[in-house]
Amino acid sequence: MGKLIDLNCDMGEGFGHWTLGEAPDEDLMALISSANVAAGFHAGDPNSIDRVVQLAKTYGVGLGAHPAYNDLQGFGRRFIDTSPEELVNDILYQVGAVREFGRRHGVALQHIKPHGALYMEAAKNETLSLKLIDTLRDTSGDTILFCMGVSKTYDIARKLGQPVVREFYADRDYGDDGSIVFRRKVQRPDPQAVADKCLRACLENKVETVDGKVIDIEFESICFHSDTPGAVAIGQAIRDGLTAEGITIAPAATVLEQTSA
Amino acid sequence: MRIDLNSDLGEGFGPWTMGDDAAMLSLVSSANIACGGHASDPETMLAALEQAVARGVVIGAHPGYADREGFGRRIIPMTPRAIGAMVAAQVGALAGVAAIAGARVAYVKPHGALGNLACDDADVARAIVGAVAAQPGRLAILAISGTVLEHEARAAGVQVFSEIFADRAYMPDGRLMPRNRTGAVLHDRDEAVDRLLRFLETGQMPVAEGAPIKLAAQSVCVHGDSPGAVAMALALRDRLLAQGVTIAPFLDVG
Repeated sequence: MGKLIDLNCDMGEGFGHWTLGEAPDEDLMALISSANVAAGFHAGDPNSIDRVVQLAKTYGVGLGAHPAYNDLQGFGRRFIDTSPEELVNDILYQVGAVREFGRRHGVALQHIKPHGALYMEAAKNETLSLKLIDTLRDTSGDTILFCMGVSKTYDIARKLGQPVVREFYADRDYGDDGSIVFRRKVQRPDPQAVADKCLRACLENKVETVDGKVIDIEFESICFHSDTPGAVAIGQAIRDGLTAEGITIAPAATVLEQTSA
Repeated sequence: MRIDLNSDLGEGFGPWTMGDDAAMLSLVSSANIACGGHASDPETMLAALEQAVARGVVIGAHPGYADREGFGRRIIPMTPRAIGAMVAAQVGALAGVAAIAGARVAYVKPHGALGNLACDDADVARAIVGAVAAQPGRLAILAISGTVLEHEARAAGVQVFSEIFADRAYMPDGRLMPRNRTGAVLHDRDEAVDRLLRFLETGQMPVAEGAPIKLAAQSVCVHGDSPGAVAMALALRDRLLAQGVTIAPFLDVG
């Protein structure tokens, strides 16, 4: 069997009557293998969760919860200084919401991916990552945690035995330390350039940083964002580029099975 | 002939946008700006107010039920007292942000379900009128022509202006035909503009059944919530201008 890679995207990030980005959810769902479903704190509402979970089922996409800081207005992109206990409760609450809609539609929860500023905070906050993963060992021992390769989250998940997937960011820039450069406004990227970047990362495990340095990178899943301008074209280009080189796009759980086999 | 064009603006929230504010601001003379109830937040208000100031558009507050999930389109049961406090809080919020933008809120137009209820429910209409009358700056009310809200505002001595819809059918009693009825919305752009031009000349509005009726209107409500709606509003404006109609605010705020 050839190389497998997961392709994930944040989904259901509208709210009420508002939609985010120009890409129709269904078009994206046809391209990806794992979906991170906004759970109502930074975006999403019960109706969007219900709809996106059904789409994930229809397209055989791995279902993920995408918990965030409780900050709709800031779209979960602002750091909110609060205790790890409170944040873990926030995460459990949101995971529970997505899992319940999954139960409704007969889809198991495959993964959890913290969103935005919470993801970045967990990456560097050892206490938070430890408390989160310690809790997940009890509540969601088989649920895959998504994170950055260079993060406390990854190190602790490995140590405690939580299934974990490292991400490669197709539409974000890398710093020399292998972490992503966080930015609020993302320009319209060239889909082919994004696809080439992903292919190189898959084949050579290399990525060029914002400062022009080439660093090693390891990952099991590629992430692109539904609100990046041209998201559907980007997803299609990534998929086409990888498939042409014999790489198969598969849900994170399948990728992990192959890795551990 | 002269008429005002008004549109709802600033109806985004946080990262989300709604409609094409820039396009609508280029063609209206009055802007109804959301106040954080059904849509908007302080930053979104500030951005909308700054754009309105830059275009020289008269600014109105557009309070709605505090129901973002439902975009203020669902009736939330509330006492008149609570409605009055809610309207005052939202108008005050917009006025506060307007002070930063060097703007002034000149009138109030209730949004969505609240606006619809105020068309028929005298208690709700009075609650809104009372809240508006209590604000500093002698705010006016923009009401749908022929409604209880218009009547209550006038009865309370609050300056009131009336709006009509270019793309909606009217009933013999001067009310809008409910959206769920066949023919409630005029889909043909030219037909809608022709009807509006005749109305501006004669003051007579054709109705679903019977002879045209007399309607008062100082403003026409246009929408920018879809590309089709923006195109419709642009076409309306172009035709009005071509016919020599002046598009100007119903309020002279100097």
